[in-house]
Amino acid sequence: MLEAATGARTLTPDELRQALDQVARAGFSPRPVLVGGRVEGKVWQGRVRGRTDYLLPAEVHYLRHVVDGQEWPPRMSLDEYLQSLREVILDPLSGVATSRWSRHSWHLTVMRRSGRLRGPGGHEWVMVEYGIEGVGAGYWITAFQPQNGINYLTADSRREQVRWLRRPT
Amino acid sequence: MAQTTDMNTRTAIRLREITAEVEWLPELAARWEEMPDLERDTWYLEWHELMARLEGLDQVYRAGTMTAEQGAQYRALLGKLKETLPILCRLRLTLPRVVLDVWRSLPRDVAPE
Repeated sequence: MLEAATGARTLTPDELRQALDQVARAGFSPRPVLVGGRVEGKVWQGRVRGRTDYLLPAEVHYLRHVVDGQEWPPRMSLDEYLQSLREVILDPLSGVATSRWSRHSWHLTVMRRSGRLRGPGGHEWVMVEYGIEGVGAGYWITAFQPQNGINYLTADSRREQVRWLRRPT
Repeated sequence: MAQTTDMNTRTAIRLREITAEVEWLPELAARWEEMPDLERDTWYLEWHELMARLEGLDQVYRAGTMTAEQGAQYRALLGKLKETLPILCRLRLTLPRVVLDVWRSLPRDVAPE
């Protein structure tokens, strides 16, 4: 994937499918993180959560973007949220782009129209960002429904060398 | 009618989520140096998205389609954001791309006495 990201070579459709299989299996890092402001006051696993609690990144993303942000449909479970991200990664209609991020990492970003995954606070596109090399390598880094759709990839000065391996349909 | 309700719901969600993270920024700053790189990078990406959503809120505000209560919440949010600018600069997080001193950018007949 790194060679594809740097432009050293082009992946065949079969290689891209294999790479995306790997990305779909990766999931978020298993290292707990601070939950922060949006999760404060949410009940999770029987406890009201404070800003300085630590939870798994998968749980934090779920609480921020599904429970608080309502980007996904109401009453979606954590497992359903994670399954929806795998579905987006493996969907042949999804766009796949690589980029150099903050000069220290390479990311792979998968984007697809949200469709039935769009909740009352959602947007037109779903995005999953994965670490290829550097910080966060081998894990999903974040996943949400970006306000500016596919312009998400070009609207950040820390992101360079954006390369579409497959454009979204 | 349904569209207005949808817009109000979305506006309420956006106001709540951005305000929650702005209020958390001082604590985040206090813990920033000890955070792992991945956690800091994730915060950066999430914050960058919140600032994109702030621009969406600003458009709604300027179009005059927020409720009076939401408008007051939005102005309060801008005030809080202005106070946290030194933190955003120190953490090198994306700065708001909206006018924070909202009254200065509105026509005279809309601004308060």
